[in-house]
Amino acid sequence: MSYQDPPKLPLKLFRWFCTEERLEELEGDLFEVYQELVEVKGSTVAGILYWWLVIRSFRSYALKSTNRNKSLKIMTHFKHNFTVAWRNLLKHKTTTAINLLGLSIGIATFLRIITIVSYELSFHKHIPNADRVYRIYTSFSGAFNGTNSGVATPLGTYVEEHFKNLEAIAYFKTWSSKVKLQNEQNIKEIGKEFKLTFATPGYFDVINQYQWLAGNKESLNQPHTVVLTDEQAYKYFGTKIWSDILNKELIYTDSLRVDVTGIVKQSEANSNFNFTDFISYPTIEATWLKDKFNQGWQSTSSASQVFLLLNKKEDITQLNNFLLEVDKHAKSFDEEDDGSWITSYKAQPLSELHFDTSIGTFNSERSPAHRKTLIILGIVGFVILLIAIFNFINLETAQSTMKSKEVGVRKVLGSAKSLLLGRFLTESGIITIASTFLAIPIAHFGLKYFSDFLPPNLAVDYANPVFWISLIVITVVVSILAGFYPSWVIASFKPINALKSNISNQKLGGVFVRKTLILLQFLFSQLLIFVTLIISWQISYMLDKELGFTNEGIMTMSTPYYEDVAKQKILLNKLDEIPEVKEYIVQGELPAEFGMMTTTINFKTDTSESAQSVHMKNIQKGYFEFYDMDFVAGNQLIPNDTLSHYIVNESFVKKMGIKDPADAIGKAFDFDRGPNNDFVVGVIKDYHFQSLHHQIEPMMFSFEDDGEIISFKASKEDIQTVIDKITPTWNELYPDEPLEVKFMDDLIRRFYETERQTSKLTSIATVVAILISCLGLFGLISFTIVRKTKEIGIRKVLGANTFQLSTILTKEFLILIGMAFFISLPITFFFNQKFEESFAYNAPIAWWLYVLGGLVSITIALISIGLKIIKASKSNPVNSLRYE
Amino acid sequence: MKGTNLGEFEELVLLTVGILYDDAYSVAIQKELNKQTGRKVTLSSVHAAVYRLEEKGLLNSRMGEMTSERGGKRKRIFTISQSGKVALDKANDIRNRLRDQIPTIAFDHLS
Repeated sequence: MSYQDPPKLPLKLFRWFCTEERLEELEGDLFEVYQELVEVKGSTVAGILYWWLVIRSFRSYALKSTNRNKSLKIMTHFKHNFTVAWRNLLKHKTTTAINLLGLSIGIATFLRIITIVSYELSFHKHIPNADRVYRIYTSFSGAFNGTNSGVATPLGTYVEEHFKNLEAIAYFKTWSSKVKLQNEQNIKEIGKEFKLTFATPGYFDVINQYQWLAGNKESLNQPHTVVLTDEQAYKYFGTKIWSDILNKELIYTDSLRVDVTGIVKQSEANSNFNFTDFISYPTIEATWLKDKFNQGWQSTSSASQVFLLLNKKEDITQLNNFLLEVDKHAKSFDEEDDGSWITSYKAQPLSELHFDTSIGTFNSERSPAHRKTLIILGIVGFVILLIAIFNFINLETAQSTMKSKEVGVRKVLGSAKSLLLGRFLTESGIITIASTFLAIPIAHFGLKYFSDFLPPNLAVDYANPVFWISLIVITVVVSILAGFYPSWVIASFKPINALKSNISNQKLGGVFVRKTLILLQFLFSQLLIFVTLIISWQISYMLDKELGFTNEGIMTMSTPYYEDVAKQKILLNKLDEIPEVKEYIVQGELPAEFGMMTTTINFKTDTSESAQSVHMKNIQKGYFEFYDMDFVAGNQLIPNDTLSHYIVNESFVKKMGIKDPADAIGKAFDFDRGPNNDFVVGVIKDYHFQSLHHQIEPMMFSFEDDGEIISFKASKEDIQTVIDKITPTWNELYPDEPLEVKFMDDLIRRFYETERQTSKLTSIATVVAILISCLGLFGLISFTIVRKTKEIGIRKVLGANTFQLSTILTKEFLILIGMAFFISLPITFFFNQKFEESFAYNAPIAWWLYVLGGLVSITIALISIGLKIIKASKSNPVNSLRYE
Repeated sequence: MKGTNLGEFEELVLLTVGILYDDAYSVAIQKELNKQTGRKVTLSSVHAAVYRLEEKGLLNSRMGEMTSERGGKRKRIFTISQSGKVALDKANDIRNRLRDQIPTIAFDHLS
């Protein structure tokens, strides 16, 4: 009788899951049954039934019990490893504490920075088709160089009509205004709202981040309608029953009455589009707002925004070509265009919106994130984490000599290398996991040190699974990075060496790697020290530098430009009455501020004629005395014909091609009244009216009677009294505008905001890096001392004194720190050069700054190891030698 | 181990092993059970039962001879152990004793 073999696949499956012990009998049983089935039902059906038999056999009696045993074995190993690791950690409390502290600070800093960076990068990622959304902004060149985040009002409708490749277009105006609520009987004041906008329905197609709770977007085609976000609606009406809110009336700026026709919910993802009230765009045309907003092509305002959603991504080329045409078109409409500058429209991808600091976001929004700072931040975070990991590696490998006996015994007893690896990885794993958990509160409370870089509402999003996943990833990566090398080194000990107690165990445990890591650690720390020193050096130079005018003790405030001059007179009279106010002056522009006015003039000499772009400030008599600016020629006596007489600065004179400022007096130039109608009557010394990033540029001062800005001098103690005294008058005169008194020197300080932030950042980073490095150094020196106890004892017996012993112990580290110092020098030079390039005026770094940087790191290092070393050097040799 | 109490199916398997004497291996047990009880007993439940009984110590087992009808695989032959016999007797005793105690009158209403 011949037998048929059962189908192979199910048999294979069976052999795979079946336990070795019972495989033979069970397979035999199945074979026997299969033969019978073939006879009775034929081989096809038998095949299927054989499958069924195999599947039915998937029961505990047949399953590989070895599986269970194996996992049990792993558990036992793990348990054992865990217990041993735990005991070991408790035994070496100092090292454990240092490791924990160093790693958790490192991870916390990294976490913090990752949170910040990912927050900034997350902007606008949630908007569908974000890659096809572009904003049109305006760029000026010629007499005035610059950009404006907005456009001329007619551009929106013009693009809508003439550009074909559009899926949707949103043109809107940002606005701020007082809001009132019309109740049945009375009117309820809500206060000033800053995130208002006039929008078309297209807005919701382009910036697709809203969910409609009530009403619809088409209602925005009608004038006198408004759509609110749910939060804003709740703020106004105090109810969340949206249908009740529809058709209620809101009043903006006393007279603009609109009906609520829709409620939307904004996505919670991060966005710069945080508008709260969407008043319908046609409302502008239907009301007095028309005169305020609808100016022609010649007026560009950052309040006028245009966003496009292109049909497809490739249409950007067409858009760019189209915008070139628009420029020409706009020119033909602009009657006032004198050709002195060129306005051009450009497209900005939505992804750039949050990062382009030169263009900005919206009037009501925080300024864009500084991409460079973010990159620096990322690098710093990474470096700090690296330092912490190096620390861990160092301490572990240094400790390895203590573990050599354990490893030797384990190996003799037959432990495989992989098992030993597991044993030491468990230890590093425990520390990493503990540090990660410690890092969370540290990161949480460390937030406030970074508050300068953050919007106020950013907090760690604990509900976000991404946060936890990244935490787990960090833990795993760090424990492998930090644990693997030391474990490998320890597990690789030759048992015979490890157990021979007399052999110098210095040879064990990657001394070279350890030294390299210390070197790197100190290199990083040293670099951070230098960077911090250099940045603060430059900042203090910039803040202390004589700018050429007085700004101390001067306060400024701006009266609203749209108000009557007579009101300002009342305020000035009030200032006259206050004895604490020493002096005051009214002007169009402060000597130094962010914004500036630029104009074009023509210089004509005998031989040539040239157009120059110059800055201009409108001032009143007494300006130069008030700010203590010096004249080099001429004077500021009010000229008879104030219209055509100007005071200029030295750079202006140079631009005119005149060497001696005295020669410039009475020279004519062509400003706006044709040639030979404008004259120089005085020349002042060059002063810094911009930040020191810029060269001093030509400047002219024209005399005007009116100005919005009032500056006054008062001593420090009196400032609050003065403010208190003028506040009632101010509130009476300008009820809509809050009184804001600013210090001049604060305004100057704001020029260097980025540098100050970077400086703060690097100082935090330096402190953290130094802290971690010193923790590591402290741990290492402890081990060196333990290892050299006998050597110290013998040397002492032979007559070495404390100083000699300290030198022996510190020499190794001092050499490394010295090396780190010298390696860091060229890198620092390079950095300094790059940094200086961004300033037109800078102070050369004094040589002693480098010495200071080096001394700082050596001092800190010595302090952190000094106590230990002195203690060791003073120890009684009897104690260390008596067991010999 | 929870005593030597037998489940109903276990008892059947144990009895069948006894009947087959020296030729009691799983396929044979399955066939005999099918034949004797008229139930459809699956091979895997027989397997589960014999191995459990062996674990309880009610069955002993040894490997048989190699035969070609099993693809060269040996079979595991089960025999009843001393405690298996005790368990069977006990189960039988209990059942008989209980059965004997039922008064005839209890069945009267059935006839």
